[in-house]
Amino acid sequence: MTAVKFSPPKNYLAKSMRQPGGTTVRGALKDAKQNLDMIRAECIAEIDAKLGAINEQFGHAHEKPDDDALDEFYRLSNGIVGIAGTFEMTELGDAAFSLCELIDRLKPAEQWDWPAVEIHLSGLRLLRRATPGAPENQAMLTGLRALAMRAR
Amino acid sequence: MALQDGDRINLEKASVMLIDANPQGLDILTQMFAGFGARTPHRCETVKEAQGMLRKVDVDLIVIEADLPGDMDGYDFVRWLRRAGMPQNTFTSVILVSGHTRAQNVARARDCGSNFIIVKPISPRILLQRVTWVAKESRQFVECDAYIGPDRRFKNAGPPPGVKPRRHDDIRTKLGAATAPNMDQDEIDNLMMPTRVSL
Repeated sequence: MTAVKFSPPKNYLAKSMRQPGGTTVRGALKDAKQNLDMIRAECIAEIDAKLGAINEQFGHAHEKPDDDALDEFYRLSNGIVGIAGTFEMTELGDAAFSLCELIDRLKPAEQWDWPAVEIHLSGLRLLRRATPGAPENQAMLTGLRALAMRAR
Repeated sequence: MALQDGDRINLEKASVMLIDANPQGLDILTQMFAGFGARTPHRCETVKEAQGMLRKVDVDLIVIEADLPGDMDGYDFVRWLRRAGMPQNTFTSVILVSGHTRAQNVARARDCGSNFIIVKPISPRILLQRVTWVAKESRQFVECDAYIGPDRRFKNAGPPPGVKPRRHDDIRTKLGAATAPNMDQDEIDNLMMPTRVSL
């Protein structure tokens, strides 16, 4: 068995945060939200660019793309996950998350499940234009998740 | 413990490093930290850039995207950080940020040595709460061949039923059912962290 050394935590962040001054949590959250609003348009444009790239590169991928292409597909979709929810496009982000799960499951699989991929791409397009919080959005997400989870 | 709106935070003096290859992802983190009062976070779009900077400056907190392109992703970066032999930055608090986590990366996420993992989407409240949790971190730092980082056990509940204790501090007796109501958090804090009071 190898030796294990335990030492007390050296928490430099705690030391910095103990300095007098600063702001309240309420003020910090308000400022952060205002700052995010300044980059909202740019981030939503980036989501649309990623959706466009996904549709252009993989919108007709009836055959299984090679590993590098699948990694790019995954990264584009994961990029949407990262941005969408921060700007109240949670359902779009959830659909992109489901697509990531599907791609991750299909990557080592011998069979490429094009219908499941195609349905996800359609779901992303619909949710981009859908009213946030609409009941049919949840039904669609439930279906997408079920499709992703059955892939192997 | 939940973050209260009236609580005070101070990140003005904190040295924060943000790493994300996606410019919008990096902007989101930057704008949130600017709102929290962090003056000049170090922004890095590549791991290489971050590594170079960490050799020159001491950093209090690193927030890094897990899924980075290239030879070294966020998990590899944290493993490197913990083993790079830099006197201060070895112990720097790290928050990993992840959207979807690939099945093959789940164990890597657990074992890389980060303090916390946040699943996207990130809201300002979630991020600030995790930053304050990290600042209150009391877990010991563990160093061994296979792992360097904060103790991965957030609580010590002893070995599972039917498994013999292995560590000297494992609970060795059967605890049985509770006989009194649960203590509230303040009572527990008072037990763990007694403070001197001047009257």
